[in-house]
Amino acid sequence: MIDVILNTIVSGILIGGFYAACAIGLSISFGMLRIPNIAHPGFIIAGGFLTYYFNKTFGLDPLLAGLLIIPIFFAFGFLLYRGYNRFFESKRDEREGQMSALVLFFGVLMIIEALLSVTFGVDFRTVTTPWSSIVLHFGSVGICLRMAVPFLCSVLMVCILYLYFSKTYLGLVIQAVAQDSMAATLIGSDPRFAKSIAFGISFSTAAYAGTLFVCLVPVEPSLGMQFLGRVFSIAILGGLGSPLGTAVAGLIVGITESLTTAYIGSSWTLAVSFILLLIIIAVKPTGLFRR
Amino acid sequence: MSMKRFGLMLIILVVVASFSMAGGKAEGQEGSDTEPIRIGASLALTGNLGSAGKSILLAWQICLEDWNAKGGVLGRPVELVYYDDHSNASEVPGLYTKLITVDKVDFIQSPYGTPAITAAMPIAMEHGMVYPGNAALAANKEFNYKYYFSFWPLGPRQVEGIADLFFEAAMSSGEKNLTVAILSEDNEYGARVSEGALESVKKYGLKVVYNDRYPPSPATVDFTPVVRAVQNTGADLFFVGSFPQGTISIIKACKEVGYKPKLFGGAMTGVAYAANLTELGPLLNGVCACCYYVPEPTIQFGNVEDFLETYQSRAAVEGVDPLGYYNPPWAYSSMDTLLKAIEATGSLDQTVVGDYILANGWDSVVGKGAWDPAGSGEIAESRGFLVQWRGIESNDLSEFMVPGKQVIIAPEEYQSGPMLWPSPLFED
Amino acid sequence: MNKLVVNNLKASYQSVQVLHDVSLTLHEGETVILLGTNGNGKSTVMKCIMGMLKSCSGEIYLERDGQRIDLLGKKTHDIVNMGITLVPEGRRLFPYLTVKENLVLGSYPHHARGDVDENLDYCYEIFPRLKERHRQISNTLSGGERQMLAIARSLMSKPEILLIDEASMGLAPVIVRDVMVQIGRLKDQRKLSILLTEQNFNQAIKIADRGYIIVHGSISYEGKNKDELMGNDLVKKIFLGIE
Repeated sequence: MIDVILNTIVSGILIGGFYAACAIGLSISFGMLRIPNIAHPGFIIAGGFLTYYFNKTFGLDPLLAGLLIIPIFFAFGFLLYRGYNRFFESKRDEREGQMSALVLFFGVLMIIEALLSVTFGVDFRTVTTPWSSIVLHFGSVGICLRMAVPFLCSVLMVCILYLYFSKTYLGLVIQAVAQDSMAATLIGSDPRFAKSIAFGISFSTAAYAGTLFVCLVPVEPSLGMQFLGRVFSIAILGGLGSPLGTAVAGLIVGITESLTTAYIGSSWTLAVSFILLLIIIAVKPTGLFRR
Repeated sequence: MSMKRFGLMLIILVVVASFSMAGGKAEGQEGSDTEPIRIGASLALTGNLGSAGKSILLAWQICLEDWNAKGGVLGRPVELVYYDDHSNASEVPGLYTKLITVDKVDFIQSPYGTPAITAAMPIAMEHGMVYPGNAALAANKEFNYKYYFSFWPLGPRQVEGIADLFFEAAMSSGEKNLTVAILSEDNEYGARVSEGALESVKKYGLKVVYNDRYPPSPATVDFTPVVRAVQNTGADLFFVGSFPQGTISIIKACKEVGYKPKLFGGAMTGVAYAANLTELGPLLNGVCACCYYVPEPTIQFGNVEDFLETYQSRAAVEGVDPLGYYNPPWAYSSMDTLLKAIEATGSLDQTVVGDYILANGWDSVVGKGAWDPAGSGEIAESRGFLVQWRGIESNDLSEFMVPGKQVIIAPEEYQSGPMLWPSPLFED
Repeated sequence: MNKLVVNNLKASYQSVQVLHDVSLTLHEGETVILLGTNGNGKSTVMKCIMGMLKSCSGEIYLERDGQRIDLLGKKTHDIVNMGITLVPEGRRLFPYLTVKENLVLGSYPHHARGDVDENLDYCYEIFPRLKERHRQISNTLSGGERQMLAIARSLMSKPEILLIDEASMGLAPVIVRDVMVQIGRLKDQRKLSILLTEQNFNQAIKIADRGYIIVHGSISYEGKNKDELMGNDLVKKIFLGIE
């Protein structure tokens, strides 16, 4: 009995870490930069497909392939912010800007799906590696590397981002810009540059979350649209803009889902995690970790 | 809003629209003197059903090319007018109304899948159109439409019949007091599969120890908790009704948690697609699932091999499922049967053609047969069978193109080898 | 002699002209006060110098080692990197960062990064309260502490010219005195040139070398030293309430 609980919780932790990796970029773009990038899950799926492509074409380990696509996504995010800033952000008041940005990013999400469908086809794709099928046993707890490796990568990602945002100049500046853009210029920083970097980072995390996604389960182009709700709710639950909060929120959702599946029934999984979300938001509207 | 902003919004909208609405395309012979006969349809070319939709489109295109090469139908070329419904059933009624009233097509083919086919049924009925169905589960149950013809191999018992095959196979082991776990996806398909399984289980006097539904992908990313819950019940038979992503994930999760039921699988879809087969490879060993075509010697359906040869040579180029074991033969037959009826009756009248098909049954690359006399629009006898994989050594596609690895264990008339009991799951 | 020069500065918000003709000079090592009541354009002058207002015209330049460097039209962050910094009205701290993070951010300009530890020690030395609270989130500080932090943050960039907008705004008189004393000490210790806008004449005059009075967007009086300022009729009328 205790074995089942332990195994269930471990599963929840492992998948929760992955959820955090998916949501953390949105937490940065939506939370820190106030850019409602609903195309984020689309970029995750795109990252997954590119990883798949590099794996199948060059036989690269997906985790390595993921590292290779990060610069591409970073550059893309960096430039996309420049465009966004030029055409949307600098010309409107914030509310109006966000509304048209929603339309923009919804379009981007659909374009990504269409491009992926055309380029890679609409089949489910996944990457299998020599380590995917290994299961490690610790006493009665079995941990499969297919789940554990993405989890460890997610943890590493969260730690790197946490350190980056709290210990480096540029990381702190990004936070500063998010809190008071005018004051940020007075410490000699260029908010546009800082935000471009942050958006690039947000995209990089999407790319790598995609890598982890395609290692975990089969992925197809329209999954981005379907994954939107969960990614947003975890980002909000964590308190937008907080890497640690996002990680904790991911774990909470993961463990809740896992326990619900095992003890209440899998048909309740979604309902229970959304009820939990509603309760937390009702009690603490800014999410778990927003100060 | 200034002109510049307005212009920008306009550009964005146009770009978005051009991707999302990917307008109707007509294809067929050009420069012909005679007006073509036009067949209209919407298909899931993008979205989560896109894989199936694209393979159906290719089958139809091959069919039309075959007919046009022979000089067309009634001496006129045949042309396909189709739209992408993005795997979204709610777009379907509008598209069919447009096909019938604006594009004024001569005949229609159904979209792909139960929700879409059901969605367009009232439109087809309203205009009295012959409505050949492409892969639906009992879509006609509520409508009882006379001219709905389901080109799908499950027969009147539908998915409920799959459960019969599965539990019949389990019973043939001779073992007593088997316990059953039923797990299916939380959608229409899963509900029907579970229902059928419960009926079947009752018929064979088996005991159900687990019965649940999981939220459809991608809500369920990790299947290990649910599989562990099943494992914890110690069920001997694990009957699963899943869509492709679930199929792959559940098989992997079973392997990972070390759950080895005596018979595993049943109504898991997606196992006919090359991408999924190669993804799973040796993990499929011992797994059972319902299939409609495998290259086993006991399968002698019309000239399906010839069709698959053409299909496979084209699919590789077009980036569509390279095997074509699932939808394409039936999609080809659906189109082919319709065109044959038009040619035979010499008429473009829906009633005339519909009555002809009703009376003469289906006849094409999947062989021939009659319709369910009860009027469900399904084929009279099921053509589904249960396959148990074995001896798969690699993730190579060639593994699945030779006989002896996808052995048919039920029903008896197609059986090509003995059932392995208990299933040697996941063994290389 | 290095100096900051503002010449014939005009500025407007949308169509309303708020600065008509402002000229002032800040020499190296001086503390100059810009006096004026609310709405006369003191803050606007500061914003123009820092490049935060697009619609200004005239001349703003630095004279450094005999070279003239134009500031008008430059971006704010570039101006900060030249060693000019502003303690803005309302302090504008980063509310969800800690005191220390706020301070460290102050040393963002490249020329200041190398001395970040030394500068931190210096700030903690002149504002010991900040040291006590260095791990506290800045929006939990009291008003006086915030003003100290705002000044300390700007010092972290090792400025040569420090602009302080309304240092005493919203502070209790006793704290205003403290802040003024600290600003006075800064000038001596760091060889800063300080331009200070103030409404609180009594406190500001204690540390000022010279001053200007701005009325309705124009400089209406320039006092060459403390005594001249103290004796001026306009000052008496506006700030001291003596008719």
